[in-house]
Amino acid sequence: MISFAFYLAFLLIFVVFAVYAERKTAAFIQNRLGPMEVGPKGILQTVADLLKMLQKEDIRASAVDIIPYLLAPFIVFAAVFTGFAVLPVNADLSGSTITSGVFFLLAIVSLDVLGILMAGWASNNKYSLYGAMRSVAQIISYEVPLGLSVLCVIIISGTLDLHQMSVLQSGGILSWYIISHPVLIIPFFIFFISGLAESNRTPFDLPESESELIGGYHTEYSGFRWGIFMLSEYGMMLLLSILASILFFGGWNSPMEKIANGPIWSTFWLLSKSLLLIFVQMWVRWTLPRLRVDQLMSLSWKYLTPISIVMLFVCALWKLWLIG
Amino acid sequence: MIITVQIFLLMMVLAGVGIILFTRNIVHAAYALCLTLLGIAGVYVLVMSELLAVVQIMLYAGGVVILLAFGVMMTNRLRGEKVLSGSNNKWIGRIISVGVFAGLCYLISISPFQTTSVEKNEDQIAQIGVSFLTDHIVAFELIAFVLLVALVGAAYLAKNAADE
Amino acid sequence: MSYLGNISQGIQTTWKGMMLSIQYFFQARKGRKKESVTEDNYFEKANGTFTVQYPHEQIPVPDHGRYQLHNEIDDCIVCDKCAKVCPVDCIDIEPVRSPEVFGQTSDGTPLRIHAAKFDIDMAKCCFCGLCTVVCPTECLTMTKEFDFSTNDILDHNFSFSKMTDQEIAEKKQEFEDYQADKLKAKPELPAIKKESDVMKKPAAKPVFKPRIPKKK
Repeated sequence: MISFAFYLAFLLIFVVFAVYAERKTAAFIQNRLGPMEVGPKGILQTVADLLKMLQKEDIRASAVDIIPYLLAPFIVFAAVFTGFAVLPVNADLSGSTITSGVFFLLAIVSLDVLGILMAGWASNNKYSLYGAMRSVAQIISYEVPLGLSVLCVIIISGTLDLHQMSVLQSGGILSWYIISHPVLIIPFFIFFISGLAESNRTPFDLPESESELIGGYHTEYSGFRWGIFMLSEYGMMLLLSILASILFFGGWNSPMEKIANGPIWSTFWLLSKSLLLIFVQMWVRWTLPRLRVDQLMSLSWKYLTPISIVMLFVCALWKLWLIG
Repeated sequence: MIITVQIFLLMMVLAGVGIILFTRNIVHAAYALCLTLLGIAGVYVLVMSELLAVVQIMLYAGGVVILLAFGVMMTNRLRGEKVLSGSNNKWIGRIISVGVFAGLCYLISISPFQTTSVEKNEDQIAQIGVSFLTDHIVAFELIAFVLLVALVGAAYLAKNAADE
Repeated sequence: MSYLGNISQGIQTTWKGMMLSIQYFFQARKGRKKESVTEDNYFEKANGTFTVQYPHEQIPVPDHGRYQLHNEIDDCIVCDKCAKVCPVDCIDIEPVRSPEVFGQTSDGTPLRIHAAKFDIDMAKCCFCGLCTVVCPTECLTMTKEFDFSTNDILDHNFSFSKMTDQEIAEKKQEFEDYQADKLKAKPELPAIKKESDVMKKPAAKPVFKPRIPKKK
């Protein structure tokens, strides 16, 4: 319960500064300065934007299907945020202790498709519906390699509980799974790519591609409800980054075995690992162009899924012969 | 605490069922079905069957309902009309559904369900996994085979459509 | 291309792109030097942030840039050449002649005409600089000032005349009096013919019939 509250507070603060970081990253990669006016170096720009967004009128087109239209953002956010329930914060705060931890996470997060579909359909707008359909096709496709790459880690660790998994990786940087079991390097990349697709980030932002679909499934949303969609997108980024740092990079364990292990330090390690991964996500976003729909599907079904199945097999052999 | 959760889940399931029964909008019905399935997943959690609950969410709420909603949206919406379901054969339908309901109630009442509370089993997932690969290996492999056939079939159909 | 070739190409191209963009990310520590366009390496700015935070900092503009017009009204002899040459008619001059030379410009040209009105509408100006070329006393120049945006477009009409309405009226009166004196002094000057005299005789009609060559 405490970890849930921690993540709720952290997510809200994180989103404000992640949007700022996103803009700055974009600006620096493109030889620009980014926001500079509000606050020192523009750090309060997102706060100002947030205040503006909260005051905006809640515009509803007259032809929308009103109940699903109003519910959709909250379903998306609830689905994403429920995933945080099983994430541990540090050695003492373990999150929800359900035995099917990471499986539950993947299951509940896949429900955000429902909200996206609801938003796209209820908006009664062809761009929204296009975006929603693309999003559903994309998320369902990329759930397969995502699940399979998580499964590779589960084979190695022998547990579904994320807290347990972090405990198993304690003891310095050498016992992190990606170092101690190099066979997991390829699953990590598959996980990362599928995670980008799951959170609708560039280069997989076809569902909301603003240049062709005017924002996709959230075209008709404005103000606070649109903000909820953004919140869920960034929440999804954070969720998958934290998950990746738990699965592959030792979770809340310090890179040094005996140093910096207190509860605050371990929270720091977990969050800094995931924030580093979020930086990589932003870096990818401002480097790679958007995929076409057919490229998207062929990447998932022709490349990532077969490779992750092979890696699943390799991980099973690794577990059988090398760990025993 | 637990009674609150029970009442909440009951309301969730009944609300979903009620919407499915009385709405004529098929898309709303699909979402209501999802609500019901999630409520049932909650009931599974209450009877200490956590894995089943997660499977329910993943397969039914996350998979089947989405495909259902997707299908409904893709088929009938092209002309911009609302997707409404008609109601025909009302009396036959009522009789059949009351009959099925009564039959199910009778079957449930005579079945020897475990009514005492069970301990939370930490090793549940491992046990299910082991039994899949030992006692129920034939069923497990058959399901895998059926899924493979479905996958190959889907790819074949998609290929033909693309060629034309 | 083969399956494995696709994979390796995908990894290579992604890696290359990622390395390129991270280079730019780290180069962003350097800002742009505020160099004028006349510097030799003005166009070699591929590295570092390019943005200039305009109101806080700006790039120096060249001295011979063509921006806002300025008229040094004390040096202006109100010759009207600038207004005549202006392709967009943005200079509006109202001269008031003076009975005698009333001053001298800084280059020694005598001043004979008061500028009752010397307006330059910068909203119309096309910054061609022709007016500055024809100006005989070089009082009309283009300055380095380029940021003269206003909220009202009428504020773009810059007025350079220093004369007040009272002064204008005074000078006009002075010149009229002078003219009247002149007329009195030279009464034998033939007066302009009255219009009625001119119109007395109707103009002769042209007696001309075009010959149309006959066609055979």
